[in-house]
Amino acid sequence: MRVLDLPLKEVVEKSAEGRRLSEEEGVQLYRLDLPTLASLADLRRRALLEHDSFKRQNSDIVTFVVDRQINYTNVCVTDCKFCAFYRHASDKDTYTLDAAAILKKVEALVEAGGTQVLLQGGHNPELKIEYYETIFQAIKKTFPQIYIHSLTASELDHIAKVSKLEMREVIGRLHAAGWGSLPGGGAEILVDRVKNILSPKKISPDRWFEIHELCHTMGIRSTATMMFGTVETHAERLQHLKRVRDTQDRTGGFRSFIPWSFCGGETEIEGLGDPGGVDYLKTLAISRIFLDNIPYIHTGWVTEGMKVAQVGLYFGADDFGSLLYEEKVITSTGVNHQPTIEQIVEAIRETGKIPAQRDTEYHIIKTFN
Amino acid sequence: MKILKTRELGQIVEKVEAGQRVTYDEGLKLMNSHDLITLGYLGNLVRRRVSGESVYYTVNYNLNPTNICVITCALCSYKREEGDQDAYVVSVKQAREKIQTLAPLGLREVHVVGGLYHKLPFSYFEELCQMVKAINPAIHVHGFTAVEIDFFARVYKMPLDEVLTRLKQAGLDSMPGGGAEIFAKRVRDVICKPKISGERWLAVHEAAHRLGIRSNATMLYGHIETPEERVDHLLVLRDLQDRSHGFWTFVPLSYHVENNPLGDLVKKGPSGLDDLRVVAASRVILDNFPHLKVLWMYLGIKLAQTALEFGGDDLSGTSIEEKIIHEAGATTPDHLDRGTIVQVIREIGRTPVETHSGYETSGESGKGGESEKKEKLKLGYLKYVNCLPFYYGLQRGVVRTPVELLQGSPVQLNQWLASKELDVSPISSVEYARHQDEYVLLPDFCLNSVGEVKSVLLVSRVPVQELKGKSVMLTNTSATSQVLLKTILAKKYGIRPSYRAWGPNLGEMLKQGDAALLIGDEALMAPIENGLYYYDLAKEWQDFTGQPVVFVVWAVRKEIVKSRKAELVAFVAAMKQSLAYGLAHLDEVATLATASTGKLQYDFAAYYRCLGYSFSPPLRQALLTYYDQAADAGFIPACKTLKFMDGL
Repeated sequence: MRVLDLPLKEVVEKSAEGRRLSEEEGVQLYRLDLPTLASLADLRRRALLEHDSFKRQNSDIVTFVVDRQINYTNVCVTDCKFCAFYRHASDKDTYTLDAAAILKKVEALVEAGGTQVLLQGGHNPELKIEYYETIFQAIKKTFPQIYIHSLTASELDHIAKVSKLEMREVIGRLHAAGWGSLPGGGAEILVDRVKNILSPKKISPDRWFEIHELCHTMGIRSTATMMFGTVETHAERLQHLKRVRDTQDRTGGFRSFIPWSFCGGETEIEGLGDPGGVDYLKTLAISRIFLDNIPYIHTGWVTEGMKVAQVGLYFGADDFGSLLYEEKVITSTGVNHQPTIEQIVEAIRETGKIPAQRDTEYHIIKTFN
Repeated sequence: MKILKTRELGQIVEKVEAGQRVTYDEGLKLMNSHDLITLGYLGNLVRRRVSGESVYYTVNYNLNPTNICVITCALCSYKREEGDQDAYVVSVKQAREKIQTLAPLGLREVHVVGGLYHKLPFSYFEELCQMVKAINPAIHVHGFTAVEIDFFARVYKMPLDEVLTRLKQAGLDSMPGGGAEIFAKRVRDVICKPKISGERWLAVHEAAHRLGIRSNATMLYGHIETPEERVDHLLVLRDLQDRSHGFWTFVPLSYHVENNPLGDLVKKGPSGLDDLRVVAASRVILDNFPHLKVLWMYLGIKLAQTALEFGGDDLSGTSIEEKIIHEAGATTPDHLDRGTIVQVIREIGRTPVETHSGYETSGESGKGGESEKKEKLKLGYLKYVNCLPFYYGLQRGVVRTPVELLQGSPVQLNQWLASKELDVSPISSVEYARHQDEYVLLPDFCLNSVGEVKSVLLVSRVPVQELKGKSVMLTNTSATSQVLLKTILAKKYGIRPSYRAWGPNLGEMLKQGDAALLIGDEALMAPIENGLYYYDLAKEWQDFTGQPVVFVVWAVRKEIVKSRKAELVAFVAAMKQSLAYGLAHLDEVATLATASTGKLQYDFAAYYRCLGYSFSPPLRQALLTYYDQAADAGFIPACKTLKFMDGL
């Protein structure tokens, strides 16, 4: 093994011993080569999964969830630079789905053995809380077994505004209508400087955390994400991770963490994106090492492709994320790597791990032996 | 401290760390292992030992002389029968014309591989090699797989040595490693029955090595072969290399299932784990091969970059044209700009070294490696035809100056100059305003237009006055023109529609929005349709301000002026000559523009007459007027003076 210079060697030892790293130490990890970083992330993954509190005694299990993403509207007022999906209300090809259209899609999901629905959409000024209540109730009435893992902090903020309601009331009413948990989208990099460049009209990092924390205290759990590879520095990625970790220390409400790299293509960020796989794998590993209080970390076939996503299982990931039935937001940037259940199972199995289908709460539904 | 959990590979790790060779059984253990972390550690270890921290790449052109092939292999998506509608043979003349247009871009290698077609005379292949060498003897000719060499020997009834010697005399420098597939007969009978045997492949390469032609070796994996057959394949190569020392590079080929009969049998290609495992295990087993090449075209750029950290030290070429793999449905782009390749390598902290299949890093001599010690000036090559006159004297070899050219769109060159990938470059004129503290301008060059320019075009579904509240799509290849349009709409028409950047595709842009801004070649080639409105923005600007537009200025980074003044002075003198030569031969430049765009019907000579290239005082004043207007509308920072490089 290459001789490490001293400060880095100390970081490596600290990480290998399972101790918590500082932001500065997290940044240092980027200097490690891939095998070393993978080893450290794998150690951390095993240590966490074998820990009693996370209730997954077998650390060789890699899970995935079968769900359907439904983009209920593509009208949006936020103009985020990294998004190729949104339309203005004045554009020609706008749409908003009604309850009947959504139920039809959920029915197909149920028939395919799916358990989770991911409703996400633009910030459409026409849609108030009643729209969401109607849809959640309709889903729960017809398909009570389906878990509604839906919306984002940014959408909640938007709903509160257009409905002229307190956030607490929005969360309470949606919860009562059948809402299960909150995905971590809209996080990008939760640092003001980056947010102001990428998505100035979306909610601030403070607000994102405030909403997630409020959800956690009201019994709605959530996930956290990070979209990297645009204008942020390594230090800003670690700031993001640190804030997630701090919040988790207080609430314990994040179920998992999902890092993904920005995909270029036809968006407004010129010349950025589509970095090589090394940055993705390093960031995945560093997330695993740094977030010592979040049980599960996803590897992302949607943005990285199946090949790199499979390799991600060696870099700290223990979950293949969703087998999506529909994903318009990402595919409109031109990335499309839709795998089947068989392909995901095969990819997991080939790494010597045990594939398993899970539900939204990470309970194992079915193991593929 | 030991971080690696080596488990079953523990003994192999110790051996490889001690620099010992692995046995068949150990190779098989590696090839069967799913301990990717240890594999990566070992692959990286051997790569560091054998090759260091450089990553090699080349700027090459793939010349596929014909797709007609008299044999049919199950693994092939490329072959056609004689008489098929899309069968072709490239004439020497066609190939020459193509290579002549590419040579000035810094072409280092021509890679010649094609089908087996008995009706072509042997002299045709000799002429192809001679033709490349006649254009520039420094261009490396990397050509003819063992399968083709064997075919030549049989069809033209010559001994193997004579075929090889004659091609070498004609200019062949080295041979690619294709056709090896998997040597095992069981496998070849299924995937490529009519091809030469594994023994014959090895015999051809051994003969080539004996005659001083070095070569590569490949292995096509991820179809029906077993791990044992892979390891056999690698060990046979290792044995031959021990005898002949003629191999440069091992090139693993990840099998693609689409569009070939074998795909129906195999169904899926190798996984990411398998791709990286083959790279790492091969690197460890083939300890006597100087290089291991990772093909981004087969793996995708993300996995290819990762593979460089599992044992690869060569990222293959920018491949200006590659027909074979794309017929098999590869979804990767069909070429990468040199700048992108360099960026992919730099991102992982390795040193990019431009070379060719003979691993020489300059045209003449040298063993490769630390070529960056004495760097040439890095000059941006703006790839639009309107900038051809700047480079024409350089391209024709009339003027010589030591520069490394990085080719890109205006937006790419803007970024690369800002990120110090470039030392000096033509850039969008608004970029100077944005980086006025970091850059100085070259006083002799700009790109401007008086009146119509034809290549900055707004195409709209409605008259421009009605664009209020509509959505305007901006080409993502331009900076100056985006600001120019926004400024004209804001200041002249008092409207600020919503803007969205998009790839330069008119049809798609007009589907997404109401109007589209196009620049450069895309604007020149835009089809004229009924019902659409076309605005030449240079003319709009002229009508509005009475001033011409300066689209492009030449900027150099301030620290380069400080540290490399003498070089720059010589460089500017050479570029002035180059431009003067281009302007004196605009008819030839127009012909080159026609050849490089393939647009025979377009009158490039007329286009060049609308453009100006010298940065005279009125133009400098015009640029400042433009900065004032754009800054006033809030689109760029204020820029009140132009600072030029002195001492010229």
